[in-house]
Amino acid sequence: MLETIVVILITLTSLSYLFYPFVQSKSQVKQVDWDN
Amino acid sequence: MRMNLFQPIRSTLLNSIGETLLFISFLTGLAGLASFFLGALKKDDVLIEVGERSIVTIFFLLTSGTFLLIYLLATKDYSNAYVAKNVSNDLPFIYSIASLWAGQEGSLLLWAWILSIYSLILKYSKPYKTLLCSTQSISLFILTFFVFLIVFVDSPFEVLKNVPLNGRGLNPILQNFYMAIHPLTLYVGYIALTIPFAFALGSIISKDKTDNWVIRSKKWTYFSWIFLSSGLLLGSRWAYLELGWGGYWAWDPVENVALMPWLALTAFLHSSMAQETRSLLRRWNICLIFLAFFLSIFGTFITRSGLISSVHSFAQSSIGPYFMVFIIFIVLFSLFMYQKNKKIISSKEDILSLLSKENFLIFNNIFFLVITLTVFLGTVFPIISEAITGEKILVGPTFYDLVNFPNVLLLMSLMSVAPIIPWKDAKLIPLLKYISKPILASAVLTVLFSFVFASLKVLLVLFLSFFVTIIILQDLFIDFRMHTSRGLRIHEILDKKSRRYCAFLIHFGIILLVVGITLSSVYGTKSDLILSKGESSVISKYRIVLVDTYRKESESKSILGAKLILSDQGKDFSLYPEQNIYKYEGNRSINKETEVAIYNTLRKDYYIILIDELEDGRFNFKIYINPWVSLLWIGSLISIFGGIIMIIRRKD
Repeated sequence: MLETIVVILITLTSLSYLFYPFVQSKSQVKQVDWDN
Repeated sequence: MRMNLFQPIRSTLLNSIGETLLFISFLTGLAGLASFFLGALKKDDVLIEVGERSIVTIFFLLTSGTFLLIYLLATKDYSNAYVAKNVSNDLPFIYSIASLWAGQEGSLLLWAWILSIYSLILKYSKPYKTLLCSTQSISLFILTFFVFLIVFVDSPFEVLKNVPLNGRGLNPILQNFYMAIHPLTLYVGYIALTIPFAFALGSIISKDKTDNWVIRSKKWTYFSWIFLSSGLLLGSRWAYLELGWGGYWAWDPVENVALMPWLALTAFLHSSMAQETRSLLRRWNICLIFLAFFLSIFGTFITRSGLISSVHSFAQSSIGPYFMVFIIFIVLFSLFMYQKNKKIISSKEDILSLLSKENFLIFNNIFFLVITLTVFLGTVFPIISEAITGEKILVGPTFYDLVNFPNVLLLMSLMSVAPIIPWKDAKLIPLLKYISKPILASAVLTVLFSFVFASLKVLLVLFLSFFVTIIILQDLFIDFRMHTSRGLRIHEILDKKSRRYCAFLIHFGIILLVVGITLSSVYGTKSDLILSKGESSVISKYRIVLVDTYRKESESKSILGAKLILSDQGKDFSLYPEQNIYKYEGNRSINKETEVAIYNTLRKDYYIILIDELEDGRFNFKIYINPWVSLLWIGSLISIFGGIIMIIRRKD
């Protein structure tokens, strides 16, 4: 049981951090200079 | 009692957490790669941000995983298969921690973790252009491959159903300070090569027409060079102290594969100057850094596949085929991208004169690559010979010495002139005038030394060493005189010309190293000696007395030791060689190990090994007198120090 909870916690934390830019406003995202 | 009750649950939980951390790292790696790819395709900043965040996520997950494994090793939790395989009850705490890189699974985890640190540092590089974007995706791809290995092939968090009371322990020859840090140092250097490689490939993929990748990867290449040099030095020191054969370099395949990336990287550090200064050798530099990276992966493959027998055979495992596929893929992909975009990366200028710094740098590269090729052929020859004749033919040190010695002499010659020769077009007469006095002084010194050293090989090395050193001193003298006359203070001159002086320092260290190697290999002596207690013997001009022998028992081993007194020109040196017999078999392919007794002086090392006690009660020893080995260690340290100053002084 404890094992499952820990696994879920790690997964959720990682996922929420990873995909946070999708819920951020575009102006807050770092801009890439696409011209070499 | 309470602890015992919860122990199995806790162990299973920790190992499960470890596996989860690694598995999510792998999924995050895949998600990051997809984001980078799609982001670059659509020029979408959000997707690139997700790609970047995948690197941060992997870093945190792998950091947790690595510290979790360290905790399991430190607490000797034998429910973990890796811990049970590499740690035992009698293993000191520090070696329990060092066991992180003693075995396959731990090494791979460490490799991935270090690469995640590098990738994270890369994330904070500025300005954020497409070059960095493609560089990050390449480093993430390599990182994901290593995470794949620890998730699906060799997991460091495998649980044992039947938990043993004691682990198998660490191989005794690895229980040495130098060995404890030598692999780690080499890993740090090897892995750092990933970043310049990623920059080079990234510049091709992003069709970057500038020389930015060289400038931005220069600190990484110096960083890698410093750690590879330190790793080689520590490995040699370990071999010298622990393996008990009197030498420091055996041309063992695993030593060779560590040397090859160093050689290619050193060649790159020279030729990249031409690109930084004159935008020359652009394609060539990309090829060189590719080569250095491929050789580092090849090195890992050779060490881990067990394809070639080596003193490092303890490191063998099953990941060889995966590495093979990875090498083939990465080589083909790099070459394909290079071929596709090679017009973009062609040099903007031409070499104008034969007598120019850039041309000398090309010669330097040729000699370095000839040595690399020699070492490569010598290393893979047993595989080739086995494939053709069915018999593994090993290549001995004679082959390497014979081919490499002329190249080293040629490199030393270049080391003297190349740093002082100007770019573009040098004038022959002023150059000859500049080097005439150092040549004369070197010749005079060599003639004087010929009364001490009769070997032509030694005299050639000494002549070139004097030549390089005098040129350096002359250049420093002229520089300081010129600048002080203009009112500059010494620290201002050092500040202004720091790169040049660091190069001098590195070169001077290499000169000492070559002199140390040459003198110790030409004038080193080896003798076998059988003595009974109280008996003495004379070898050459040394008198050796076996004063006493002793036996000691510890929990883990029986020790047989001897006290010898060696007299050299009226000076007495006490030496205590020992032989350890390990009681607990565990993970040890050998249970007998010698502890070499060494008395170091600047001029010579007195090196004694206790081979065995004979049936008639006498003792068998091997006595080595190794002259000037100290120069090898001092020279290496000076070079590494020069590299460190170089990296600190670089502002880009």
